[in-house]
Amino acid sequence: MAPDNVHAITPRTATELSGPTFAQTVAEERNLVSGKNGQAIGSLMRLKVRVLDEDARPQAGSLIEIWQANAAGKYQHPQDQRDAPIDTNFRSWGRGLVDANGEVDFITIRPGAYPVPNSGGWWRPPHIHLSAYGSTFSSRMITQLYFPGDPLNELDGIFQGIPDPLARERLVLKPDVDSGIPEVALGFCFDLVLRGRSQTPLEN
Amino acid sequence: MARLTPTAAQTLGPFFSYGFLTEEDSIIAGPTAIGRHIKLVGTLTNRDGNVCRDALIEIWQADAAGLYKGRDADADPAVKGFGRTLTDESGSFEFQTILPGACPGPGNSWQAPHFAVGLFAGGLTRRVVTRIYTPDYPELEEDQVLTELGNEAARTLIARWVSKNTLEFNIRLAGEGATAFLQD
Repeated sequence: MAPDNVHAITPRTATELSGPTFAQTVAEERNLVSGKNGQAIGSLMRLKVRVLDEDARPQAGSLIEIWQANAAGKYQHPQDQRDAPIDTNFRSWGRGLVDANGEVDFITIRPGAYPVPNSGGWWRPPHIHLSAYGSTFSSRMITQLYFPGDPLNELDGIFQGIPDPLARERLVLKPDVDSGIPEVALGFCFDLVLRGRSQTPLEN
Repeated sequence: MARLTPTAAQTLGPFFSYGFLTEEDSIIAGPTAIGRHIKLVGTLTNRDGNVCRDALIEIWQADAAGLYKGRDADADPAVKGFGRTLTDESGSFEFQTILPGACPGPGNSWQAPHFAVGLFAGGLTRRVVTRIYTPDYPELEEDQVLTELGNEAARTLIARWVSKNTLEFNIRLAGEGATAFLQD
């Protein structure tokens, strides 16, 4: 599937150094667990994402979107044909705007692992998909966040597809008491670094 | 100051939530926008020529005067400049927009009217980017991205008119006739 006609040209013109803004138009949905008929099933967690550029400047106004499987490892998506329960109280996706401190948080549940069809026994480790729109077209990126210490992380072709162990480590959530809600939700934090004005080409 | 390393990208996967998208997301310019109103359409295929469904296609473009929303104070407020959509079961995508204008490029050069394209799909580790150019503009000759690409690659970035107001740009990820991509 990989493209084979990629040219070593990285334009940095008005086109790439501008980008869409969402602060005026997007309705936030940062709570994924409060359904019509009660709370989503699973281990509640608060995910705090801090969004910086390469110069450690907070990226206020960035749009962060997340999507994930429910506690049973089932996606609310027609392409997920596996026989696993759908939790109608779980909303499966969220979106939020980064505040002046560079932070945005979500209330969700820890997703379940799930088997990859026709893969001979490969299970994806619990993970949360994250989509980010920074200040420019060039800072746009999508990635996946993993849970610390999960044994499936070592076996996952997608996580291990990143060759640099330090780059992998940066995709792992950190347990963080301050991000949690006492007696309600575990806290995890994640530092997301987007390409800023210096626009380093990405390697991975 | 210590430089931070950008977070590594990972694949979109097959389950990007339909809940993110509304019909408005594929409208880049509303009915009151200044300029020539068009549909920008295309089909995404892979190396084997099979269509790719559930790929996320994103467009970023200037208004009819070549100005970018959020960057240029005089940009047309009716032009969002941004649109996104998922390819359907036949690999097709469609945006409602206007033709962008030429805009300044490096030095004193001009960039021919173009759309920036970002593409995410289940089988791709990270975003793939390219540009779509509108045919028949004199600025195509001096556009630096096209010049650097060279004729053969540049040709793959020129859209074609399939009806009076429909511009078509098919994206071939790999194989014979593959679209030229830029480095993100």
